[in-house]
Amino acid sequence: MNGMNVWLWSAAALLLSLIPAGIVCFRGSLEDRLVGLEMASVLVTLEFVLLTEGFHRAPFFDIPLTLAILSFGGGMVFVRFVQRWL
Amino acid sequence: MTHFPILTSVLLGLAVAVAIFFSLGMAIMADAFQRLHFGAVVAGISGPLIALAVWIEDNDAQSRIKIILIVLLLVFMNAILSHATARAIRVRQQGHWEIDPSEKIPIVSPDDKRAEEA
Repeated sequence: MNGMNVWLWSAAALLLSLIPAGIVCFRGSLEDRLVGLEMASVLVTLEFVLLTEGFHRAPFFDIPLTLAILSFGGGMVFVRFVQRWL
Repeated sequence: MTHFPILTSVLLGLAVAVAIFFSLGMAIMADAFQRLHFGAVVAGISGPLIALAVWIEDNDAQSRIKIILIVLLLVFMNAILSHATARAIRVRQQGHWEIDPSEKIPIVSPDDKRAEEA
């Protein structure tokens, strides 16, 4: 296909791995959903890396970098909530 | 522009295969403690494989530094987050973090192990 490269094909294939993570996020217990969310955030970070390289836009690397930092902070907030209030 | 198409394809294929395999593995595990381990494999294997592919393909220093940062963040933050999550789940289920004597968790010291082996 025109415009596609190995990075974009890999990004498309990596989307499949989000399906099991999504199932766990939507159907599991509260603890399972938290673990599914953490897995999904790692996968989406890698997905953005592949898309950035696939589109040849080096400045877009800021997006996965920011997501990697923020997903840690967000995960810790959810962890705190699960431990104390939910 | 692809400089090493076969090498890049192999690295990316491996990274994606590992991610899909361990994501599926996470979904079929029985409880949250078992599921927790699978994210570390994706962060620790798929991430470095993709970083290696980017390093090989991209001559831009900015891209190389950022991808290394991303993977280091993923690996180390995932370890911290997994520990915090396990702790939170245990506190939620048991009401405390410390080992209760009634749980009968075997704690074997290195000296005991050596005595058993002798």
